[in-house]
Amino acid sequence: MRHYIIFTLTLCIGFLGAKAQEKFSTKTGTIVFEASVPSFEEVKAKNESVSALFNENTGDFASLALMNAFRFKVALMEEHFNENYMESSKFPKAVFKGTLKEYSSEKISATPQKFEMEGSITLHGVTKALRTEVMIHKKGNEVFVTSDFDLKPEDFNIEIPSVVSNKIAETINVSVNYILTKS
Amino acid sequence: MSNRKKIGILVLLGLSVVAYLGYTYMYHDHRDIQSEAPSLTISSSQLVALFETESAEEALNKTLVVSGVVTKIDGSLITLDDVVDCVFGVLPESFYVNERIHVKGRCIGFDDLMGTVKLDQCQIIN
Repeated sequence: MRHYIIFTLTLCIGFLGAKAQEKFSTKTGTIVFEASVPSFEEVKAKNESVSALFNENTGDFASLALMNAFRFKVALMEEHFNENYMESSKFPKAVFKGTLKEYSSEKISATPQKFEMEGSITLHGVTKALRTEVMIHKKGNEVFVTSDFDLKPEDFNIEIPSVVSNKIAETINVSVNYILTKS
Repeated sequence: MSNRKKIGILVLLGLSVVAYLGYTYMYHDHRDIQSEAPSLTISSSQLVALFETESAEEALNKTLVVSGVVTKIDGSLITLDDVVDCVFGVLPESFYVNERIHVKGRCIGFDDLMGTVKLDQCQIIN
């Protein structure tokens, strides 16, 4: 009998835990990257259809950006980005998977809070560790996540031909912006 | 007119042609998806099947017409049959959930995280 009660209790707690699990997602997150060099043509692109998932209980975060969705002002730059640098037909996506450090769901409030995110990014078929600061806040059913970090093309085996290398910055600034809703 | 002058004019003309061609190459327009002929006209499930059978190159970065039933509308994103996400630049006015529509857009790839194929620069062509 006692075993039965313990079993039922465990089951109940399990259910409670499962029910309290809050997952947030978006399909329309934004990533902007810029690799401009002063006095040369602006090298900047924006992707407004980035997917992201956030588990409020565990602080786990994942996002996926399709390379073809990055739009440049100059069409030729967009073609070169996809065909020569990112090889988008071979490596069509960039994926980030990570976890917030020293996280507990109580720390998230309506005022933006700084967290450290640790994880890995896969780009151009190469996976690298990535540690970055993120700002998170929550309003109603929406979780807002923003972050800024730098990436180096050479870390991901992306070769910039010497003809244009002086027109593209060595470090690329990436800023991400997600508004995730409860799913 | 002296020969030297003629050569000078020719060189100038040649240079301006080269400059013009260079400029039009460097600053040619973006693809206009809506004016392109679709390379495939398929249903949403057939499109997903292409990505599951490693035939993605048939669709990737191509202009497609995809048919399906609207299952979700979220801002400028319309989902067809839960498996194809269509991103619109300008959201069409008249359509509703459960309506069968044809969407013309550019296929940008398969999103493993959401389990959907994505199209951008979409327009409804019913």
